[in-house]
Amino acid sequence: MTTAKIEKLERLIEATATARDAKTGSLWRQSIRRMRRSPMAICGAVIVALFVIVAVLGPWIAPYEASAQTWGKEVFLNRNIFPGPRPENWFGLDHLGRDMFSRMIVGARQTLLVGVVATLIGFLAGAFIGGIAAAAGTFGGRWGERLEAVIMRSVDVALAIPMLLLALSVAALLGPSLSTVMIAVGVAQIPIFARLLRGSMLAQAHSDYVLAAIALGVPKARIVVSHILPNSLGPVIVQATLVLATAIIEAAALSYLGLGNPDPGNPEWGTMLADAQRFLSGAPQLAIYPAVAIIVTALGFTLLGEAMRESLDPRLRRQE
Amino acid sequence: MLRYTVKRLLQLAVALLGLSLLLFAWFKALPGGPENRLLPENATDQQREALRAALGLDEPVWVQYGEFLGRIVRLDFGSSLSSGRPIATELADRLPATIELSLAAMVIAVGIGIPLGYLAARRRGTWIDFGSVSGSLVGVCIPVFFLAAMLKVVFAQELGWLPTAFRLSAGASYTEVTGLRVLDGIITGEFDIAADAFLHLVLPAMALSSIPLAVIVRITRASVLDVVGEDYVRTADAKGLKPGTIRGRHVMRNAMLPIVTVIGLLLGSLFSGAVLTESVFAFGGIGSFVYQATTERDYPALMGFILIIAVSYVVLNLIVDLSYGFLDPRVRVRK
Amino acid sequence: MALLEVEDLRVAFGAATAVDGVSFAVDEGKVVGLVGESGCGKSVTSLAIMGLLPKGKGRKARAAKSRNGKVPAQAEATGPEGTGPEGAAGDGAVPPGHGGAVAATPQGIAVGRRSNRGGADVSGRAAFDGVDLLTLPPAAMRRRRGADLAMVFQDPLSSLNPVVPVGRQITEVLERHRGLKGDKAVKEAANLLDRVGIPDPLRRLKEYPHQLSGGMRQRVLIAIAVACAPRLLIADEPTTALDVTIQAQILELLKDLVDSEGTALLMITHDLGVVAGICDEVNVLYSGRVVESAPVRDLFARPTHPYTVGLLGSIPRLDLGTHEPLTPIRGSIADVIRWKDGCAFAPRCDRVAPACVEGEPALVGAPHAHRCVMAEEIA
Repeated sequence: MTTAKIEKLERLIEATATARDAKTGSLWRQSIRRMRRSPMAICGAVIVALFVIVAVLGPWIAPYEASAQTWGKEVFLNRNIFPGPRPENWFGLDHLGRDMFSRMIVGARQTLLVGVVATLIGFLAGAFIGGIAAAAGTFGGRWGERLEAVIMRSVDVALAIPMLLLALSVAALLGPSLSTVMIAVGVAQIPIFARLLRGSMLAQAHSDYVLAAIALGVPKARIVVSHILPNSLGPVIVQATLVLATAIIEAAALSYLGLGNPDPGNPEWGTMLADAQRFLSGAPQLAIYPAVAIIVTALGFTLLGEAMRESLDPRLRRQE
Repeated sequence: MLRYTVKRLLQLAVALLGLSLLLFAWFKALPGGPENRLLPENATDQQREALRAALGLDEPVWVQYGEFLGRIVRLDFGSSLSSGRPIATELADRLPATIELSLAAMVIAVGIGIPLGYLAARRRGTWIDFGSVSGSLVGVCIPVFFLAAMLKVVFAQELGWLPTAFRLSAGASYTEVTGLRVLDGIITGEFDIAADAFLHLVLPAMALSSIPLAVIVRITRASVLDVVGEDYVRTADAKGLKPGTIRGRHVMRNAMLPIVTVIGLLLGSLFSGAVLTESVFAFGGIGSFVYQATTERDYPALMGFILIIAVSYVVLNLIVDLSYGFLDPRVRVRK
Repeated sequence: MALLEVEDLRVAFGAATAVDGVSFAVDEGKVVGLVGESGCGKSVTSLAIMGLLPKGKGRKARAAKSRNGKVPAQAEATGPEGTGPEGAAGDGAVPPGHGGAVAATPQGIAVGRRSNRGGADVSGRAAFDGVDLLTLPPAAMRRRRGADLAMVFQDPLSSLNPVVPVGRQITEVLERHRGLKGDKAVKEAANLLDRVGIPDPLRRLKEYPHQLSGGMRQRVLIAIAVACAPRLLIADEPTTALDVTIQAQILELLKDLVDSEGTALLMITHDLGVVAGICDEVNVLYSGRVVESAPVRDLFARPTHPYTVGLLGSIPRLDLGTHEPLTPIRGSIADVIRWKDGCAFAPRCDRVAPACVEGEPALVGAPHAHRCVMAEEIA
């Protein structure tokens, strides 16, 4: 089939799908408008925006060097009694005499990095696996269907392993470090993304405009890449937002289990929270600052994700 | 129903086989291979070869896999590198504690979550609704180990209302029957033991129940909202049935379907949570064991643990699926 | 005294009025039709009589919540049926061009569902055997529902509980109102299924709704409705969701049941064919009010209100030959003015005159009543 002919067919499909596309377009626009009215979405967006700003600007905002043990002597002399908030250190000092406020601000960046990298690993690998499975199952003939069955059964097996176990196994392979935590949390998310994208793509693959494209003889690879895939990403993106929240929390849990890098010079909230557990009865503030930061950030991503999901899901929308 | 059960059992077998393959691959991929951990740093190549032959590592991979499979079927996971005891024994000793803790957490989550979710749905837009929805949103965002630690500091250490750690007070004499100590205390008539074990269970179970509780509240609310809008509920109303009948037979029986599915999915996060909670309260379940195994790089112990947890997770999900078939005739009976 | 006397029934969802002063009566043993397009308020009327509308919190409180007189979200969510004269204009619930061919308009989702937040404010009177159902306490109303008055719904699949065997769904109503338990209830349920024409009833009792065909499901719903020999049966579009051949069977069944038991039947439909086949009297509803009310023969012989004329004109007829064009009513039910300002149908009426928009038209004449100030001139 010549390129010109393909393009002509594409235009035809576009024509048949116009009504649908117009509807989809307005669906997105509508959902954005709805989200602007939803207090949940606004709260989430504000929290996420603040978090990202702090993460980006952290080192420049922080009053002190985050890893410098400036007040080390003071802390070491008063064994395990750490000064709380005071004029020069708003959040007090940590167990090595470092300024907690600076550490919190600088820590946002690593935390965001952990969340984003872990989510990206899950998203990319999951979307790849799910996408291959859906494409093979839809257009690959009998062998494609078998391939899809094998892939999806394996995904089911992986889903059957609790996330923490997957993470532990990965960590056992790689040894403890922050990148282990990122990979471990990310790997654990792969099956979810794979299933989600496959489901979403299959729904698209059975829609009228795809059937029209098949009937018109557009190459299958092209249908998948330029029609099915872009239209299937909505729910996956929503899931990614929600997974970011989970990733930050899970990363903290793995750090607590000793799989993260113990007390890196470069602070990260999850590691800080895990480290602070040792001083919980004497100096709970060391744990409470990172804990509150993690909870609020995770809540921000959760609110944003849930609001997105609600505004995109016609079923939920009707309930509102 | 039989067909459905058989089909699910076959799927289970396939899943477990896949899992064993995954585990074998993982075990092979561990850094250095097992012989390096068993031999001193300065071992000669000859010693290495001898050990490899002794361990069967010179056989073809599929033979090794067969032997691996044979051993795990006999529950022979080898010995723990740290304690030297057989791993199967270690796990068997610790499993009841984890089961007791998880059960208690699930009882809390289901017992509070379903009524609260129902109430939130029926009193939609009131403070009950708002409170339970925002509570559950925050609930899933609190790291379990932090919650556990805070509960311990506040209620055990500062207020002194509840014990800080372990499953029984020091010096309590306890007769083991099932290993679930609250239950055992009741069975043997040692009610003081049951009460003591119960007090030790409260805080860890509360901490562990936080995420399942939050999730169950939300799914119940959404599910009930969905169902009360259905035509068949209106039909039930048009029959003049009593509110209790409508709630039980028409609303909840349908609303339970998604709730049961979600409970199955929650079991995974329950195990993760158990590992964290047990390590905070030194609860002595497999959670604390795996914490120790991870920090000490006790790979055989980790593998045994992963296998046990994965198998029980898969089996529990089978039970959930079967109960789903029991609840939903559309799955069970084909037209 | 009639068995059911509805007087000046009004139902509002927030600022949107769905039923705007409907009055009619159903005599013992008679079949009365309630006819109109989607959105005219006929389903809401039936649900209000049955006490199945979610309770509102007083009209003022709700009206205040809606912004700039727009329909509040919950009223919108109730679909076409929920929109009334005040809020409906320009809300687009009924797409233009759909309202035209009346008989073909698919019914929207029934009212009352999905509107758990927005309650309905009901006023007026619906006297059943002299007792006003609208002011009855909920518990007393529950004792009557399913026993003295029962209802058959439109969509038989969604109206049956999918996870409960149909037998249980029948016996529970026998248990509740007739005190039948165990084997007795099962035997009676089997009798009922037999009466509504389901073969092999004992086996069917154990089956679930998804195992039955559409027609059989509707028969089960009818069996549930007649289980306690109600004096009034309300059927809300009972045949709309069914195949044409099944429709006739179900209508025949309903007719047989009311004939043999002397049950009064309130038939809610948009289908004048159904009306002609089964009803003794007809009330034509437009925009929440009765615009014409007559014995069925009179109505078909001498339709008086231009809306009724329009309805009759938009039915395909076999006796007029293939080239006779159908004459749809122009515009849609959303093009209305308020009844207190004039005739709500005026914007769509071919014979509109200045008198039509000078104040509220009254319902005049008996037994053939109409609400049209131009009736004399038109006739």
